[in-house]
Amino acid sequence: MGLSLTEKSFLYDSLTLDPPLRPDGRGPHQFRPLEVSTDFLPNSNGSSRVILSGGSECIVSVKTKVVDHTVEQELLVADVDIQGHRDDSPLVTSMSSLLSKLLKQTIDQKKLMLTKRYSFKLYIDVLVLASKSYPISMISFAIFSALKNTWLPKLISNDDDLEVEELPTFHDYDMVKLEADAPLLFTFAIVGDGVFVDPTFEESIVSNNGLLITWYKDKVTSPIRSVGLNNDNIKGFSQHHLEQAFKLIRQYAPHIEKALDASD
Amino acid sequence: MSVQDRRRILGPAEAKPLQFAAITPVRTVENRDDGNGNKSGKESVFISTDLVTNANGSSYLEYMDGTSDQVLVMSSVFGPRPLRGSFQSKASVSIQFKEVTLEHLNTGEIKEICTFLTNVFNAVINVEKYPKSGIDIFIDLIQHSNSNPTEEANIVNILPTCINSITMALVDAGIEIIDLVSAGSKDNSVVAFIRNGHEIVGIWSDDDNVTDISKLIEECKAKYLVNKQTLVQYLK
Amino acid sequence: MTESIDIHPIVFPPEVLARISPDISLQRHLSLETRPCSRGFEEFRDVAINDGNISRYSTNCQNATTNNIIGSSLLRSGKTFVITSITGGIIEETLPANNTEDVGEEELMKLSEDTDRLCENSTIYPVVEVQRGRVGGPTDEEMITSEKLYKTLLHSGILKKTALAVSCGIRRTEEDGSVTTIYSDELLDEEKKINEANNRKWSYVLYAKIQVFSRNGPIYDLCWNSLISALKTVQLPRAFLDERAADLKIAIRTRGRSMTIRETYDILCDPHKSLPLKLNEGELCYGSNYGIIDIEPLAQLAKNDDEMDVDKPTSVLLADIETEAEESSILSTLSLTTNKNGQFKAATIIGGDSKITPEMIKRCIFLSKQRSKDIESKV
Repeated sequence: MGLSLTEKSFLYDSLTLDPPLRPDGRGPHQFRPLEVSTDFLPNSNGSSRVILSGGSECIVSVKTKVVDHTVEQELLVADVDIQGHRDDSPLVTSMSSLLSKLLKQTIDQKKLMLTKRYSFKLYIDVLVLASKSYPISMISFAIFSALKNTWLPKLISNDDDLEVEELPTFHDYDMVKLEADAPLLFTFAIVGDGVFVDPTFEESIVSNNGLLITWYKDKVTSPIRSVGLNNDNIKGFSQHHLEQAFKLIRQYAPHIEKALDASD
Repeated sequence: MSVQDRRRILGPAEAKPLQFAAITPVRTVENRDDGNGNKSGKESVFISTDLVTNANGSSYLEYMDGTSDQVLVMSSVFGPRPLRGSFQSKASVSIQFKEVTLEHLNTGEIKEICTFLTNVFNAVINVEKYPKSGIDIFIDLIQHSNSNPTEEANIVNILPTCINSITMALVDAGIEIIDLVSAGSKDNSVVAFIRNGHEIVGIWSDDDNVTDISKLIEECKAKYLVNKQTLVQYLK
Repeated sequence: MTESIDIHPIVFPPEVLARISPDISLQRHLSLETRPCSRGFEEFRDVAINDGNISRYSTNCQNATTNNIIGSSLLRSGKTFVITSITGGIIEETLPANNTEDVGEEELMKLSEDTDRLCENSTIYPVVEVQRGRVGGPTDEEMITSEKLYKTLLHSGILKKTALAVSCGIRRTEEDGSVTTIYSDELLDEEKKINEANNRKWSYVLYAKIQVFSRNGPIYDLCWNSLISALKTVQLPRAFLDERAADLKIAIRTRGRSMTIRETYDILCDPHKSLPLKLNEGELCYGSNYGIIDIEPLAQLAKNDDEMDVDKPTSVLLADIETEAEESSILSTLSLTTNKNGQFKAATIIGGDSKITPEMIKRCIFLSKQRSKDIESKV
């Protein structure tokens, strides 16, 4: 699976050229071509599927249930499953902890409230079918498009039940679109002096370090993390790497958001 | 789903943990003011090494920010010790984090901390020097007085002390590192540096309002330099 | 022609010898009338005990609002230290439905309880963890120590069930919104009646998390001493029900969502008021351990000739086993838990390869009483 020393050194050298040369000819700011399809799971309230060139693939399904929010305060549950990794592996647990914390912070829970007592509870299930590179970026794109295309049943009973325990009733087939904005996460590989967005597996192997930056509602936000994209090539980086990554994200993230938004 | 643990004596299943009623808000507000308004209090660090005798190296750090925040962390380094299995040309570093007394962090957060710290120390430990070896680092958070299960800032408050403590334990164990790592924090962000602040080895930010990254790094760097100076003074 | 072969003796520094051949190292030490830890044969390690400022009731505690630890101890013995933190839970006791009406039933229960004296005693649920630089499930030693602590405390009678009973208070919300909490033992007599209507019973459950660092010898005695000193610091928070919940009979609805209703009736703990845990002070006791080893004549360092014939004892008694050399080569061990008056709570005697004589046991008993007295003065 790994690369030979010569291959690594060739790759590293070409990435540190000026201008850098990525193996698939992309610019530092360019994503791999990606294909998004939504609403393909009839049993889910919202779903999406993201396929990257190179065979990485991720499916997200959003399901909902009505709960009493005076008892159950958690209205969002995100679960990440990555093929080929155990559920308790550091990659899966730390990613799923990061995502669920982030989604809880960003998604407006008021939108899920039905009455003074009842709310929708969202279950966001992520399944990464194939991925060699660090998959969090792809997952966040998939969650973003799934939440943009989530339809919830329309409430027809009164929305103020004065805390009386009365079950809300829904319209038989009318649905309301959940207008929820999810954050987008970007991964950057730091190789030599350069910063590259959306690194492939090969680029990750030779990278000196990685960065994870979040984009939400037209600005850079938390979490910002340094992440190791490999285990044996890690080095420190400098301030200008961070500044460069911020510059790239500010410049290109709005385009990506727009492109994802348009994909219905 | 959960399998019953038959190896530990866990007590009756139907018992519920003690739930303390919320304290009247007046008191909490006072405490908060003490904690945030008066940050200018003297920060102090107590360092001791060689506390854990059966580890190759260990350190114990007490960090007090002069008001009420107190972080007590103990690190122990086991290794370099032989790794089984196929040949590895470099050492493999593993970091385990544990809360000794209070249990306020969930497993996911603990794993996040471990992954982050492993990444930081992968960049700093001279792994080429130790082929076929494993270096296992254990961090025990003994106390974090301001920890609050409902607050987000917990991790950011303890991370700098954890990083300093691991650095001291590695020094105590005589494991080669390229420079003393230390970290500085500012408003919910932690940045770990080496080489007098010219190189960053880790950044962890939970700050929702990162407008000027350069300024943030400069501020963390200032604190890093202070922390590093403390470590150097202890080692002298 | 054969060349003569020179045989050089191999010399190891003491720490290497202790590692590769612990038995020889120990024997050499013994022949010098000392021990690998450089203590005398009957000398114990120094013990320091305090509460570690871990519990929410510690005098210097700063996080009383979020801390759920109700008792703690930090015990240091030589280089080894043990951190014990005690947390609590509340369990509702199942009462027979016709609690007071059926006299015969009650009598029967009393009779059976008299024969089973253990059911008056209560215990704690300990989890022992020894830091050893590995991850994974608990080791045999951790499991055995936990089990032994659990059983010994149960049989010792230090902790009685009555000490863990919750005397439940009631929280009242006055019309102006002010909240008061009333406990039955603070009430005037006429008000007491209100509470008697409420015939649910709870009791506290205690859990101990015992962490051992720098393990350097048998841990059971250290864990026991730490547990007892932590128990002495335990403060049980006062618990109360909300008035609204107490007045209502538990209305469990049968269809599906019954759970949601019961949850709101949860018993809560008072963040300020607490009572010390009542321990059976007379039964408190502390542990110590001993090892007996034969002196191997062959492993002795050479002495002057005139000393050779002096009758030396063939085995020695060592108090407070420490270091790997002692632990791995001493197979005959005694572990005694007693108070200063010699009231034993637990005694484990393992006869290994060395003969344990009655005189030695007597000596151990004497030493353990002394040790217990010493620890008691420090707790």
